[in-house]
Formats: sequence, C-alpha cells, structure tokens
Amino acid sequence: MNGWRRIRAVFSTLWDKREVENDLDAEISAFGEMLADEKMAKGMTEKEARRSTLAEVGGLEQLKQAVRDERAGSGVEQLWQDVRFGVRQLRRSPGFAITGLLIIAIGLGLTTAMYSIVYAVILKPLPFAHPERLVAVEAKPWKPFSLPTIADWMNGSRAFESMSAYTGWSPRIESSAGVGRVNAVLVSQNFLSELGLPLRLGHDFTQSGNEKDCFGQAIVTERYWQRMGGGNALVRRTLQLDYQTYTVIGVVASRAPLEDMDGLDQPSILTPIGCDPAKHPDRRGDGSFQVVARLRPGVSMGNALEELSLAQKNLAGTYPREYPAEFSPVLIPLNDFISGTENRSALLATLTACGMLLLISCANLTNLLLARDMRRRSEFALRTMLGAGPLRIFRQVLTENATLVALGSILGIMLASVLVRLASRSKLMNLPRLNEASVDLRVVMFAVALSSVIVILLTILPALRGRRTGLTEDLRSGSSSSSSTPRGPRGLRRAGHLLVAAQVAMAFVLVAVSGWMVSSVYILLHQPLGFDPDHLLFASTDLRGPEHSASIDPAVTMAKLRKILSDVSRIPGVAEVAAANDKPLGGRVNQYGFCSDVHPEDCQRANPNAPDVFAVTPRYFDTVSQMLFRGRAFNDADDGKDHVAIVNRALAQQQWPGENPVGHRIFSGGLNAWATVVGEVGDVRSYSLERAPIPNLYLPEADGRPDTSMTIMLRTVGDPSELDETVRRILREDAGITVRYVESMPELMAHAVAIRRFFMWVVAAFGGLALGLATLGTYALITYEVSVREREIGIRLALGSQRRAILALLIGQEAQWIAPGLAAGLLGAVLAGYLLRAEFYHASAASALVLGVTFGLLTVSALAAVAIPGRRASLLDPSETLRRD
Amino acid sequence: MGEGQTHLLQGTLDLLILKAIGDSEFHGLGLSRRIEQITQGTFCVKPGSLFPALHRMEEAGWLTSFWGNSENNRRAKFYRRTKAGHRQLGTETEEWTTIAQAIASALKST
Repeated sequence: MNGWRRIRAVFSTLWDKREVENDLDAEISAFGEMLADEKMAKGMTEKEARRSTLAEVGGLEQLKQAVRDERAGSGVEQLWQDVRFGVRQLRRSPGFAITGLLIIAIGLGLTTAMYSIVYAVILKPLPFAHPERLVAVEAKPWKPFSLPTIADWMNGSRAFESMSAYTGWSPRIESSAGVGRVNAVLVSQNFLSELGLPLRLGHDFTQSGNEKDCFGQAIVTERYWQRMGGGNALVRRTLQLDYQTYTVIGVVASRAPLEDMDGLDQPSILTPIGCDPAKHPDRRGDGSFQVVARLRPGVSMGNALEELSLAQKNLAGTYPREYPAEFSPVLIPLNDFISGTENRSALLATLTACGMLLLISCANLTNLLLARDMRRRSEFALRTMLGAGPLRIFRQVLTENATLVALGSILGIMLASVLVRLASRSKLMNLPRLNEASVDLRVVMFAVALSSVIVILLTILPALRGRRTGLTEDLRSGSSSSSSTPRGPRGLRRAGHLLVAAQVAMAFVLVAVSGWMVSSVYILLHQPLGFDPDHLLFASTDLRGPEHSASIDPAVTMAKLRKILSDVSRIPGVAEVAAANDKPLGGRVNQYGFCSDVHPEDCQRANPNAPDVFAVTPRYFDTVSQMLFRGRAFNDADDGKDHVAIVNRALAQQQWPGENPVGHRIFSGGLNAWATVVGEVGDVRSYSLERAPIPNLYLPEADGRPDTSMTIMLRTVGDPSELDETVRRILREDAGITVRYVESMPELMAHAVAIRRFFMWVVAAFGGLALGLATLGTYALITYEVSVREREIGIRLALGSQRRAILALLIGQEAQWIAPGLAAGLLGAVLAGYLLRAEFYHASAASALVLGVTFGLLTVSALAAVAIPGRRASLLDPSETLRRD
Repeated sequence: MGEGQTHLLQGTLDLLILKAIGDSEFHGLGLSRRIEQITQGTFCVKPGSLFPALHRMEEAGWLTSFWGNSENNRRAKFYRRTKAGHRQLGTETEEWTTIAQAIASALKST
C-alpha cells in the first residue's frame, strides 16, 4: 500500500468514523441476512436459519471488530478511544486519580531531579578535550608534590602524554573590578594545553620551559572578565596581584569546572607558578603542587600506575631522605576526582533511595489498581461478551495506565525542574558542577523511559493475576462484592499482600538509613571537640599592609597584632581575645621537620608523623576553652628569648608515652631550633568535625618570624554574630591590615555539616514518605480485604465469634505477610548500612538503636494500619452484612 | 471448516479474491460462494477472514466498493476490481507460479 493511500485511509478511519462505522454495520448485517436467506432457500425455517448463521459466522460483533482491527488507523483509533476512556475513568473516580497522579508525580519527580543532579555532578563528561584520558595524581601518605618530583615521574615513565601542576593562591588583587582578595591558581606552563581548556580571547602563557618564569602574565576566567568590564579587546588590560602588575593575556571560556578541583575555591585568575615568590619550582622539598596528567592514547590506568610506581621506586632509591619507603602514588580519573568520592557515594545512595521510593509508590499504585480491577471485573466480562479479545482488553488496561502515568509524569517532570532549580541555586549544597544541573532533553528522556517501566510494572501484575476466572462467573457475580469466585480474588489478594510485604521491606531500609543519617549529623554536632564552640567569633586577617608588601618586619607585625588584640578586647561584650594562625576546625596545615629528645634521628629524614604546628598568642587556650592538663600556657614573656613549646595530649603520647612531657625538648623546623616543652593541652579537632584529633604542636607567635596570616579569636558574652559588624568595623579602621572574613564558630560548624545535613533531610524525607506510603498501602489493602470478607466476618459473628477474636484473626493473618517483610527489610537495612558505612559518621554506635527504633516504628504503623480497619470489621452488624446480598 | 476443505495458504487469500472477482462485481457472500466454486469446494473462505481482507484491499486501492441491490433485492455492498487490483493480480500470479513451480520441482526430485 503506498503511503498516500495509507494516510488517506487512516484519516478516513478517524474522521469519517461514523460513516465508516454505519457502512460496516450495514454491510455485515446484510451479509447475515443473505446467508439466512440462502439457508431458508435450502429449506430451513427462519429461526433455524438465523441460529445456524450465527453459529457459522461466530458473532456479528466479533466479525465487525475483526474488520475494524484490519483497517489502517485502527491502532490510532483504538488508542485514542482508550485514552479518552482512561481519562473518563480517572474523572469518574477523582480520589483514585488524584492519589495515583500524586504518587507518580512525587516518585518520578524526585527520581528525575536526583538523576539530573547525579548526571551533572558525576556522569557528565568534563568539558575538556578527551576527558577520559585525564587523571589526577594523588599519593599516600601525603599528596602535594614538588615540581622536580613531577618532572622525574614524567621522565621515568612513558604512559603519560603530559603532567601539569597547579596550586591555589590567594593574593591581594587590584583591577578595574575593584580591590580585594582573589582566589587564583598558579599553574605550570603546560596546564591549559594539557587540559585543552578553550580560551575565549587571547593566548596561552609563554612556553619558556622554565617554571621560574612569570612574565607578569595572567589569564582570567570569563566571569571575572565580565566583572572587569568584559569586551573583546585585551589591549592595555592589566591588573595587580600583591602589588605586582600583570598583563591579562587571555580569557578562559566559562563552564570549565576549575573551581571544583581540590584546593581551589572558585579561582578567577590563572598565573604561571613562577609569579608567587614563595614557591620554589626547582626545590625537591617544596611539595605544594597538585598534579593532573594526561595518559597517552590506549594506555590503561593500571599500566600507567604500574609505570608511575616504578618511577617512584627509582626516585626513592636516588633520594632516600626525600621520600619515605611507603610513599606511593595513586591515580584517579579526573572526573571522579572532581566529583569527589564522598559526594559520589552520597549521591548514588540518594538516587537509590529515590528509586526505592518510586518502587514503593509503584507497589502502592498497583495495589490500588488491583482493587479497582476487582470492582471492574463485570465490566471486563461485558466487554469480552461484546467482542473484545483478551489482547484488546489488555491493551485497554495498558492504555488506561499509560494515560495515568503520562499525566503523572508531566507533573513529575515539572516538579523535577523546580527541585533542580532550587537545588542548583541553594548555597547549602556545595556540590561540584551542581550549577550545570538542569532538566534538559536527556533528563526528560530518562523520565520518559522511567515512566514506561512504571506503566509495564503497573500493568503486568494485574494482567497476570486478574484474567483467570471464567467469564460467566464474573458476569453472574455482577456488581456484588462478595467473594463468590474464590480463585480470582484470592490470587489478587495474594499479589496485594506480596506488594505490601515488599513495601514494608523497602520502607524499613529507607527509614533505617535516614535514622543513621540523622544520628550521624547529631553525633557530629554534639561530639566533644576539645574546645567550646559557643560564643566564639573569629576574624581571618592578613597583617601585611600595603606599605610592607615585599619585606615584612617581625617587630612591626607583632606590634600590629598586639594593637588589634587590645582594640578588639575593648569592645563591650568581648570576654577574651587571642590570635592563632588558624582556628580549630580550620583545616590549614603547617608541618615542619620535627623530632623530640627521645628520637632525634627523626630530624634527619622526611617525617610523616610530624605534628601540625600552630602559632598562637598568650591567652589562646583560655579563649577557645582548650583544656590545660599540665604545666603552663604561654605568656607575654615568651617572645623568643627562650624557645618554648606546648604539646597536645596526642603528641605527648606519641613521643613520651606515659611520661610528663613538661621539661622535654623538641626540635621544630618552624623555629629552626630546639625548644622546651612547658605545657600539655587537650586534643582538639583541628581539621574538621569528621577527622579525629592528631598530634599538634603550639609555638608562641612572638617567637621567630611571626605568621602574617592570623585569625583573631574572640570569646563573647552574648550571641557572637551580634558583634560581627562591630569587629569588622574596628578591624577595617586599622588601615594596615586586610580582613578576609568574620564568622562565628557555630556558623562554621553549620556550614561544615551543611551537605551532610542536606542529605540527611533528603533521606529523612524519603524515609518519612516511605513509611507513610507503606502504612497507607497496608491500610488500603486491609480495608479492601475487610470489605471483600464482610460476609464471612458476618457469618463468624453470627455464629458467635467474639469481636476480639475477629480482630486477632485479621491481625494474625496479616502478620504472616508483614513479618517476612520486616525480616527482609532488616536484612536489607543491614546490607545498606554496610554498603554506605562511609557516609555514616560513627554510626556503629547508633546502629543497633536505629535498627530497633525502625523495627518498632514499622511494626507499630503496620499494626495500626491493620487494626483500624480490623476493628471496624469487628463492629459490623452481622444481620445487616448477611442480608445485603 | 468442513471435511474435504484445505487450510488456505498464508498470503493466497488476496490472490484468490482478485482472481475470483474477475471483471464483474460481488458482495461478500457472493464472493465467498464464487471462491468455493472456482476452487471446486477446496477453499471455503470464512467471513472472519473475508471481510477484513476486503476492507484491507479496498484501502490498498485494489478494490472499490459501492452499494447496490442483491439478487433477492437486499441492499448490499458490492466490490469491484480496480486497475491497481488488476496489476496486483498479475504480480501475485507471477509470484505464485514461481513458488508453485519451485515446490513442484522440489517434490519431483529424487
């Protein structure tokens, strides 16, 4: 059949429907009449002839249907018919329709939104050339590397096309965008070409082959370029970094996820490594660089790692003092490195939770559909009588479900796009590349694929379960709801029970996981920190001023610091003031060569156990409320005439286990001298909430060359955030310094757990929804069950059964299904807990408790879901229920 | 299907209809009887196959239909072959002959 005819035929089927239908009707009935005529001519009576005709043809309606099926466009026609019928069905029972639509919209919307986030953060290829060949190099036991190390790796292996180095830098900036502090990246000369980062304007850095060269060249990101005024001309665009003038030679196209690479915080400027005088590209000891490498085409990660390890082994043989024997490099695909393993597993876990919630929703909806199908059995029987084959009925049900799911999916996709927009704008979720998440074509395709799966899930079980009983039985039972056809309904009810058990199991897992998330956040925020975070305000400052850009006079720095401290201490409401080069939970690392009087040989080699070193002013320990166990704190007399130091308990245990550390001697590269230990303080979490305390060494700020990057710590009487503005103002009046930020410790802690807290809320919401859905599903099933069994219960009551016994019977029967569901859920939860153990902080402590509470919660809600309709059943009036049929 | 009747080979119904209809016009029952006649009662095309086929072929443009009166003066829908139908008959006959010869020679071998 040629195309045009076919199209015309489809249109005639659809548009001239009534005419076509009348035509068909007349044709077929004429055929019947003529056949009868023929038979009567052969001598049959009219009655016999009619009966014989019918027997021969097998039903005129079926014949018409066979013709209709054959016509082109019949598929479209039936689909349209079924869709309209489906919509009518939905409108006829708005309660069911709204419940179904909401269930699908929420389940699908959440899953789609989560998929879109997971895609943007984890799955989407990086916008670099051949991103699959880019790897980040890490190493155990420590990471940042020196440029000579990187060069030797490159020379010692053939697996890599190139290796580039980068590190963060935060200089003072002065440009047409204003004055302030900027996040910059120092990069090796091959950095841009290795990544294949596209430049919107200008050219790459001068490739001199010597990383010490700076040339005063800077490349800015497109965002900063816009702030500088934008435009398409680079002529005479300059900026100042730390009072040095740079020429802007290029603009990096935006959307490059530079901001999410480790150690970089949304950099705006790229400059060659040689531009920071504090970096020493030629020193093997200056290990301050991160490495991105590009594999040669066809080289596997395994091979590359093998070669790199060999190169490192040779290197350790040549320089035994620089590299400890256990030092070993690790390769990570750059995509994974940027998304971060923690985020990765948290996101995938949340996506799985979404999927489970969706499954629970589907199970719930299937239950609703099963119950509705039961009520529609006589309708289906009637359709079969009127000529609909089983396939036709299956198609009708499929289309009805598809209509429901399609409408729900549209709502779901709308919900997803709102959620994604909220999430990508939210400051709380500090996920890399999150701003790239959107509900685009790919995500919509995902949602469509997902909804097709849902339609199949919803249709298959009722189709398998529902069509087994005889037609006459269904017709005879008519609208009566009694279980006169035991096989069908029981099969249906068993399916319903299985679904409820599955829902209970999945809800168990989700509730348990959310319980662990909640307890993780609680423990994180309420564990002993080693200091008192309440009423603690801190201001991060740079004591270098404009007039002292190049050389810094220690005496001037100390004088500035003392003046600030005394100014700030006069603010009403400030109880204590001190300064340190980093706050607790700050994460800044200062490590120097270290050894103690008992192991002086440690100073002769790279010491991976060297403590973190903090430079603090007198009264620091009082200000942060850090416990002083032995000896004394620093005072104003500790100004470097006699070198003194304070150790924390962890360091004391490491160096002098069981002894009093006071009086022992230590050597620190920070002082470049031996110092006497004068005190022992408690351990604090100096890195982060998650990381346990490690050995710390405290030195007086006034000893040696004072650190110019100092954090002023204030203990306040009232709410610290109330003093925020005052402190900012007073510090700004001090023209000689730069203030980076002022924040209170509780705020910092809230930020630190923000992403965890976010996931906690997501998972807790899922857990709550899952619990609610499972309870609702159980309740609906039992209510339905009871309605089907009214007659039986009526007989039981009439025969003298106690109401209590009826309730017990129902609960007992349901328990047979719910108990295995709970058991499966327990098993699933234990498994999930094991798989997700990295996500839970100290969850093992709360593990059993959470499982217990979850078990109780689900049992109670399941019991309630059974007991409420059960009680209603036991209150039935037997004389009424028995008379009803 | 009665005794002495054979199952219709798949795909031969169209051929039979186009052939049976010839250059005259038939309604459904008439065509059914005509097919019985020309195949000497070997094939009895049931209405459940015949009518869908007629409608399909009409949509394909091989047949046209019109309303007329039957021999007993009943209003009935008559079918007539079109030019395209005639061409189609040629094609299908050729195909069928090829197949029939091939099968025959296959059976005669050995």
